Amino acid sequence: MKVEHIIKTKHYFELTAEELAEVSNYASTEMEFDEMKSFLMSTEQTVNSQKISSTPELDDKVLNYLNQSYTQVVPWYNSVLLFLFPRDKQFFKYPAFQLGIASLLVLGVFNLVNFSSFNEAKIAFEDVQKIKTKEQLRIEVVEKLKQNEAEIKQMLIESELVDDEIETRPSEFAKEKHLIQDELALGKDNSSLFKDNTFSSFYGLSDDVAEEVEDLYYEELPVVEYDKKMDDDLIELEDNSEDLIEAEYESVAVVNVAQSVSVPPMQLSRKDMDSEALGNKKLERAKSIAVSESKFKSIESIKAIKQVSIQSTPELFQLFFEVK
Amino acid sequence: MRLFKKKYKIYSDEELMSFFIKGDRKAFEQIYERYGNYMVNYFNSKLWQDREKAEDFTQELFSKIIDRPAMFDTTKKFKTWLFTIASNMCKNEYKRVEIRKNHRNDLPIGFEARDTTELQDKKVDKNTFSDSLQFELSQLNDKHKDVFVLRHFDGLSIKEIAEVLEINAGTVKSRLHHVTKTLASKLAMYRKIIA
Repeated sequence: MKVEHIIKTKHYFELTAEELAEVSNYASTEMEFDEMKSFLMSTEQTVNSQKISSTPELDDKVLNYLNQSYTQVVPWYNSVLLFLFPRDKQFFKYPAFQLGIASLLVLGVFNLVNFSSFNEAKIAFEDVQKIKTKEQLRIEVVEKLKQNEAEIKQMLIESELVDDEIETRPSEFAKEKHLIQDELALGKDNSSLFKDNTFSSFYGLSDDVAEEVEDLYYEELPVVEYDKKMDDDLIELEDNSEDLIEAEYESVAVVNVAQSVSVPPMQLSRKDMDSEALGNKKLERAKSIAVSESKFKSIESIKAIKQVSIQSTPELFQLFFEVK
Repeated sequence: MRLFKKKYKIYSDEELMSFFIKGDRKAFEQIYERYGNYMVNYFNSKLWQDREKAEDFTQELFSKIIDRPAMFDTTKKFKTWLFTIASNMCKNEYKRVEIRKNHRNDLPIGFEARDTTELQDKKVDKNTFSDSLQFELSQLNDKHKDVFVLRHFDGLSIKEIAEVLEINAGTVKSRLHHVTKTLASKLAMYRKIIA
């Protein structure tokens, strides 16, 4: 307290007007001032003389209690933090500050010289690559569609040529029919038409079912003696063949589309393949294909249809719809 | 490891307590070094100059801090917090003694638990200033006595006394002025001797 300090250290006649005003509450006259001065000094002396120190026993008791209670190790980071942020230095002399500045400089220089330009170039390159890939995919799809369209046109033209040939040379064609039948009969044992992996997997057939379809195919083929009347029937049949081929092609294509969208044949499990219902369904479809093939008696046309069908993979149709 | 050695002496009481709360035992040792003697003297002056009791109370006080250091709010001043706890301990002791005095049914009427009769040698000792001061202080009520002891024996400022006693600074000034004037006038006879 300022007043006590003034009273203890000064005589009454030494007091300034301000100090007199301050001590006036304690002493208004010189006698009171001396009385107060004497009292405060005596009190100070008494307090100093009466001061005691704690005994070593007390210190031991307290510190032992501390040791018993606090066996926890001091965290190492307290010391590290003290080293990084010393209290008796200005902030720019802190090791943490200096280390931070140094690391910022190093990183800044590194980024300016190498890293930033390299990154930009790399990102730009990756973007171009991505765009190119997408564009290429689009082009590929369009090209495939165009190719398919051209093949279909080619097949139609070939079909027309066959028709023309049949019209111009019906007798030769009838002979060819026998040759084809013979070829089919001979090739029955060695035929790989239905056992072909591409065919069976496309139609989602197992090997057993494929064999069954093959048998039906050959059973349905009419083996008849050549007759003159057959040429007339054949001509009549072939007149309508184009429409029938187109209709069959559409039906097969639609089935393929439906099949590719709903259940991709390649993804069918063995269990599914073995199930009776699925087997019957595929058998029915195979039968219809076999009947239609035997009806047209034109292996080339059938092959053309199959070619188109086989090329119409689910992925292609999906891409086709995307492009559309 | 000298590089990382912590100089605890440079830290304030509040910082040391925050270290101690985090588990730094050395920080508490520094606190005890600063306030061990301080508190023994405080209890000694408040508890009838009973040194043994003062040491017991000091040990109890620091044990409380060791057990529950988190009770300290590091945003506040440690010194006043410490004196507040010590002051409350003394008040509890006063109450305990008072209760014990009132419930000693085995004592005859007119006898007290604490012997207050003044012995002859004490009467002789009373001729010294310090004994007179102690006597006059014992005659004061607790409010005035606390303020005087905290100011002159423990060296607390007006603001710190106000925080410890949980009263405003104006009241402290008023009480201190009153008790100083009273004691100075009562002990005026020693003026010439001291001078």
